[in-house]
Amino acid sequence: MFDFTNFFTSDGFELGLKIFALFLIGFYMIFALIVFNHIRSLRRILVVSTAAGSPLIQTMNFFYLLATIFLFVLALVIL
Amino acid sequence: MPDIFSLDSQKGDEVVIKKDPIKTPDPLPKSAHRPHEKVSLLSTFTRFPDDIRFQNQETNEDVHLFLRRHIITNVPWVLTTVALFLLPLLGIFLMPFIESLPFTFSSQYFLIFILFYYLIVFGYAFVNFTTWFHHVGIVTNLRVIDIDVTHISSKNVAATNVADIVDVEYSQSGFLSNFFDYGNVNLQTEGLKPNFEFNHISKPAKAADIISDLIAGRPSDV
Repeated sequence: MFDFTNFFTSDGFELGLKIFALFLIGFYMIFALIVFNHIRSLRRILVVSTAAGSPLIQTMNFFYLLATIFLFVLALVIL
Repeated sequence: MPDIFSLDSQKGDEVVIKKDPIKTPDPLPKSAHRPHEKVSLLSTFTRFPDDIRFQNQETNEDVHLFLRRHIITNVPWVLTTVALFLLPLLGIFLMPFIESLPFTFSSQYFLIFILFYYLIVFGYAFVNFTTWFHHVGIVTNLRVIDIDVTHISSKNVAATNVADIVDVEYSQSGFLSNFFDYGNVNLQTEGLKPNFEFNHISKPAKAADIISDLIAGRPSDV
């Protein structure tokens, strides 16, 4: 029989925290994907073609998604 | 009384009847000669912007007015972002309490938590800003277009012909809207077509004047 009391040790707590953190960042990555897709779709409706307009927004949108993916990978690696 | 039909000329027995075109409010000519304005990142009221393109824009369609909500309407989410940005600094005061906890967080967890937190704060500000950025009203020589982006999964684009607009009115209520000169412009359309409303836009009186001039076919020099 599996001893559940093992989870209440320091290692068990850390494992639970790790799983929770990865789930949280994973779900946030889905949210970031929805935001990315939404803002990309807005480019089709309205384009402000100055440098500090739609190109800036779309670049920031891309880097926002990239940062989220980077954080998820970082969490996978170092946690 | 204006002559609708007039005898223009007679060639022998043939009578040529020249029909005058019915005078309708023609769309204003393409505004190539008018002073164009640049639309910056934070522009809220722009006359004849030359760097705006939108979906289904006709080749002879010229943007006369570009409207956004007044910049002051962004204050609530900007203040929230600043507060959230500064919130982790409270951790310095909570340090004695954190150190007294029976378990400790390793520095890796702390790093991931801080990065994740600031990513959420950035995401919050970014979504709010892009919502404001894309929530616009566009008045062209042919149509009035209302692009409503309310949150991250909702957008609504409505358009009506300038000729279908029967009345333009604007309203400003409250101290802030009078102080910062923003308000609502309501466009009533014919019959059962839905009315248009531009909410919290800058210079509503000027915008209403420009639109009513456009309906009447008058060139507006505002």
